Amino acid sequence: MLRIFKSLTYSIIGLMSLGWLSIIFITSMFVGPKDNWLLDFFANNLIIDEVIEKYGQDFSSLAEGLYILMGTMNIFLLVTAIIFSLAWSGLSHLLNIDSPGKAKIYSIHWLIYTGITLAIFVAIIFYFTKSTQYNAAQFFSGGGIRIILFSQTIYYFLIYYIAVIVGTARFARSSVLFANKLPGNFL
Amino acid sequence: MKIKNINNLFINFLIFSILFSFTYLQSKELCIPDFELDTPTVNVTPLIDADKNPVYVLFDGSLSMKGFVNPSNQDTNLYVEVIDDLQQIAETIGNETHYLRFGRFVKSITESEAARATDPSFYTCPHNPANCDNQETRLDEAIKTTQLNKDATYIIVTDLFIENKNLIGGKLHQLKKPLNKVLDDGKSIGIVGIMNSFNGTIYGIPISGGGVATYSRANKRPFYIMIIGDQKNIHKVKTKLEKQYFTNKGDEYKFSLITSNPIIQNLNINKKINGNNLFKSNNQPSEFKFEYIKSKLPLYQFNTNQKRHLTFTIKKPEILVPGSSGISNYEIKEILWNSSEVKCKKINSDKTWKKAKLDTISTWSEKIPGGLYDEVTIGLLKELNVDSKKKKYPLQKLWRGFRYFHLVNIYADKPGNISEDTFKDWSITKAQAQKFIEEDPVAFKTLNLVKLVKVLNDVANERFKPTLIASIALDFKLTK
Amino acid sequence: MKNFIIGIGGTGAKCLEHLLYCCSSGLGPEQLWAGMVDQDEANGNISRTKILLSKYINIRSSLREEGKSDLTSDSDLFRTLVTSNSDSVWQPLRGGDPTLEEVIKYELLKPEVKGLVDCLYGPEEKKLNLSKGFRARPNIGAAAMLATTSNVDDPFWSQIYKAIDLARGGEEVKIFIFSSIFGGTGAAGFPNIARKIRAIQRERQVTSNLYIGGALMLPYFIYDIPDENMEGELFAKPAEFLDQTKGALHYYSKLFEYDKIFDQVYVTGWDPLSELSTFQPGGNLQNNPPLFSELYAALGALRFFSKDNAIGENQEIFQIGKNETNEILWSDIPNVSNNLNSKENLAKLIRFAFSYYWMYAPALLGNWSKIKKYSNENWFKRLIYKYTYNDDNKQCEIGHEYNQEIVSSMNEFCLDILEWITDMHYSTVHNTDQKMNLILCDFFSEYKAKNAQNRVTIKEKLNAAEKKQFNGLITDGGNFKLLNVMSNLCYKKIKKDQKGLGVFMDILFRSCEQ
Repeated sequence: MLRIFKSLTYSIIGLMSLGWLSIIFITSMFVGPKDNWLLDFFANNLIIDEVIEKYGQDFSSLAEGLYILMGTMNIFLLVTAIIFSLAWSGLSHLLNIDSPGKAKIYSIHWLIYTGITLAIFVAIIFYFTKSTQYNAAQFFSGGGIRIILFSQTIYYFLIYYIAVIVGTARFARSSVLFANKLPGNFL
Repeated sequence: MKIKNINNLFINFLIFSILFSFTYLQSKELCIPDFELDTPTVNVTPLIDADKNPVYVLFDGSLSMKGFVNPSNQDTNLYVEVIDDLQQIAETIGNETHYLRFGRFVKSITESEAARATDPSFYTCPHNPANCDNQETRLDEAIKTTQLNKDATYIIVTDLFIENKNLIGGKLHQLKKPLNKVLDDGKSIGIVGIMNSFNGTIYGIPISGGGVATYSRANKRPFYIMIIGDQKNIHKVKTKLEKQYFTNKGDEYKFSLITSNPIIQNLNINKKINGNNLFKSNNQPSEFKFEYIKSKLPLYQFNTNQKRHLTFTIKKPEILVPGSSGISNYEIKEILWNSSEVKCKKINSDKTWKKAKLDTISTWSEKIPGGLYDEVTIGLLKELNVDSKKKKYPLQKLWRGFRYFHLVNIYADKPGNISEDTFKDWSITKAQAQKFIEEDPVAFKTLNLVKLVKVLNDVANERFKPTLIASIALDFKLTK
Repeated sequence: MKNFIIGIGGTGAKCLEHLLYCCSSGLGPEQLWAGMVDQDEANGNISRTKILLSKYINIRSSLREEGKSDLTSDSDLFRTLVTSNSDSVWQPLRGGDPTLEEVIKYELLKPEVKGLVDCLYGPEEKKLNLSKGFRARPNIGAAAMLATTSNVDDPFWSQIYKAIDLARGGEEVKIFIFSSIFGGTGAAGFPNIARKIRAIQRERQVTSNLYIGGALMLPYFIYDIPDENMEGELFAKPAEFLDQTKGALHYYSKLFEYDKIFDQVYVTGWDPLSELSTFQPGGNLQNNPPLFSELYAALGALRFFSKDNAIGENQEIFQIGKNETNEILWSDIPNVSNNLNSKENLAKLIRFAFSYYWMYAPALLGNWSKIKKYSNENWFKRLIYKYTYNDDNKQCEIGHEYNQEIVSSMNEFCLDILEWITDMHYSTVHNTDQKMNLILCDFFSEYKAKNAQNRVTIKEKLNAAEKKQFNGLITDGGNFKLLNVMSNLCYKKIKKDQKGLGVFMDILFRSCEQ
């Protein structure tokens, strides 16, 4: 049990190494749009500015809904990354790796598990940016959605991956890509 | 007693609250952007009696007309009967009737002479054959008489057998000039065509190589009554003739109205537009409400999802003069506002209506191109060109969660030319004439009839001004 | 403190065998010298214990080599430094085929002494070939042992003299003797060797610091004697054991009353007697299985050697038996001391043997090209690679001969552990109503009672289902899985100063602790 708790702790530390950025981002999203580089980035890269202009609208008046969408979406993504990485870190201690050479077999399990995690990330992003649940999703351009999809998926995958690398049980490290490169007594 | 007073007070308060809430809601719901309504340019032309003016009846005295009055094998001779009735008809529409005869010239004739228009001698001048003006049909001269009195009604009885030379160059100009004036004065030209029995000779049929020929073997050919004047009088004459002789019109009767304005009314003025013009009663969206605002602007308020097609229909008989050439093109002038806020309070306080910078928004279509009795369908927002993406439903180009205000003004932009088609099968051109007579026809056609109608249409169309048919406003919230 | 253990006869050898396994699990003292006494040098049990002793010493020395592979003194694994003579067995009568007549030089005796001898020994006894032991004739054995001198130059007796000198020097010396009360060599040797030691002690005028303990095995096994080829043969007859025991106990009661030879005596037996399926009068074919009650003797010895064991002025006699039911449980095994839990250490040893033999040894045996596929696994990285890496050659030397020798020796030792515990498990209760409930072994072994040389066959490989049964290997051991071993292997802290394969071996041993 103690080892599992330690793994979870390391996992949380791993999560925080990149996750702090997400928390700052989420906070700024819920604070609301301010006239800064973030708003400019949204306006220049993510939204259908031509269409907004055609409708006589100004992005700054529409940005609030978009910010709430992005903030909520990132909460979901962060929570998913946290749950999946902590779950793996905890469950890795229960994998039946009881003899030499068995850890590698579980790399298939890890790949499938990670694949599912990635699929959930993508599904969350699609849900927020393409479904009708959030009206502000209409303002995203195709290119903007692609930018969000790739950047968010990669970012949260990294959060998840770092947490998993440092949180996986030592004997299961061979099942996680590159985790076996860690020194033997590390964490 | 005290309890009774309290009860009364409570009931009064309840009633007041309910009423207030209704009015509050009523006033609360309306929050439209600022705009100016387009002014309608056409009023309803009531087909009712107005002040009477003189009527001039002109008879074509050319020899070709004689065949209409020669006795024939036919039981009924409409020409004779119509001519007989014309006097009466003229008296009903005018306060005085003047008669004239035209050929190369126009000459006044007396009533008794006019009565002889049903006799062959009217066309042969037996007493003075040398001075008989029966060699030509100078329609331009007849039409020139319309300058006598611009308020009068002119009824021209003729076979409209116009030679080519009278439809080109100076003669054409001479034909057009008085027509221009007629149409400029807001008058119209009605042409009633009647297929009649014929027993006589048709003169002036052009043949190849120049020259003219005659033809005597026809036992049927049409004659025409051209009515120049107010639409209401044209309508009266036409109606009387129809009622009298053409309840079952078939192929023996044709009518066409040539006018510079085929639109009879603006639908807003008399509030002819209702909820069904946009939504059938079984297909109304949620929270649908219809009312007139700004005294004559119909406002449709509703919530809808993106999967709805918004189609506004106008019945053509409500806007087009019967028998006219119709309208060949409509123009839609519209403005679309959108607001990210949907509640009136917020819209009014933050002034969130934003005008869209869109050039093409809606489109129109009709079942029968140029038809007079079908419908014009306006596909609202169907042509929104915000981006290049194709959408299955037009409203998918709009943003969900937004409120929209769409002001639509529908104009008749270009008149039609359906009258040319009306008379097409009674018409023959110079080129076709020789071959036609070689076929030995029994029902003869009218030379250059379509050409003449086209000339009349061209003159009328030159004077056509885009006319506002209807204005509507849509105030809707786009839901998921 | 210096400790000496002497196993007399076949029983003594078997008790010593149990003691060596217990020492490998960390139950033994810091240091121990071991020797055996048996006239029948070729005795199968003696040979087996000799080999085991040699293996123990070799493995321990290779895993306690400073700077190379070193378990360090902190490790419980092979904690006891066991030493012995190059020939760990002392044969009282060496050379040729001695008879009693020759030993006592009968022909040279005075007639009256001859007459006494004739009274005490029959003709066949006088002419008995003693090369295969004393054939359950303690009277012969006693006479033969007393006739030989305790020569200081004799390798066996030199150790005794050394022990006594150490005691004179002020160091505490403990000597423990395993023996059976029945039979030949043991019955003869137990009191006489002890008395001889006491005589040397008096001779050297050592009055303190020397303690003698002993484990006296009452009858605990029985066997059927085949009718053929045994006519006229002299051999130990089970039917006579009880009578012999009765006589011996009477003798010892008198002895202990007048002469405090032993400071502590541990007495044990077994009821019902364990039935052995094979019988040999002696020689290398006499290869009796390890039995549970011998473990009691071994634990008694370890208790005697324990630092917590306070030896009083008066002679103490301890006895031990199991619970009254037919089941033999872990609770029947006494602790060596307050700090040394016998069950824990033995269970650890058995799990260690299992894990090593079937799980880890196959991965570590072979050359580097075969082994390197495990090089990225955490247990290998932290325990093997790091500690067998040669900075000069820049390579891991696990595949080198030196390390491979350690790996394979340990593999053999683990096999021996498994065979020992399995044999004891089956043989103790074979053909009786008793049930041994210490370990689960039918899934990895096969038992053939009648095959004296190969009673137990341990499977070379286990399938996944069989490996899964590791959970129940130690009954009453909870749900301790191979996964737990692997986890411990990856997480247990490495002890300071440990080197080479000592790191892995110690961690694996400690990982088997529940």
